[in-house]
Amino acid sequence: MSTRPVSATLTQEHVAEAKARVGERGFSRYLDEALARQLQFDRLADLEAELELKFGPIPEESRRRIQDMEWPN
Amino acid sequence: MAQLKSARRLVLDSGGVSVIAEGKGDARAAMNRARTEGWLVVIPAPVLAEVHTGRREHAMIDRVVNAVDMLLPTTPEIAKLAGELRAKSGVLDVVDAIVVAEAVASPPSIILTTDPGDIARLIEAAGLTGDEVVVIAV
Repeated sequence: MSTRPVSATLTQEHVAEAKARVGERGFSRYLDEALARQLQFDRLADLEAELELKFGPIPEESRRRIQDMEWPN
Repeated sequence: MAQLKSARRLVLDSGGVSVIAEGKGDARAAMNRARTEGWLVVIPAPVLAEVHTGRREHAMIDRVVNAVDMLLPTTPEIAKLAGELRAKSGVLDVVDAIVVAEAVASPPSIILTTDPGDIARLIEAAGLTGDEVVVIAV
């Protein structure tokens, strides 16, 4: 995928913490990965909202059954 | 994107994709849990050969396919592993074998499937325990 520079206004403390973690040069990549994760989250959330509109809310019984399962770490 | 590739994965087989598109509660609950707990929801690309028809009445299938985090192209390594798992397990289905190969190659993983029998036999052939790859039958 191609990249391009963007101008954005970010919270100073977040920028400082991120740069302390990954360095000046790793910052763009770190930000890009965070953006990718948020987009993934939002795409699935949109799908879930669409399914809820079409089929109604997830039944509580299903929610509980899945929540009670042991998922690997 | 290296960080994303190494994340925990919920792998959908064709049955998994279909039941989400049909709105089944357990499948939707699994997808919701995966999203909120930071799991990647992925579909191995060969699954598309089973679920994608291009027909308008199957638009919801395409919505699911377009919303997941990654479509996994099958590498030669995954294809070879799938072949070995088929040979060891006696399960003939190529796409099921690729689904399991993707899951065992990148544990921990969860497979959401409507065909838990064959999937479990393929996982057993890989010699993995239930701690690393979990099957959810929906």
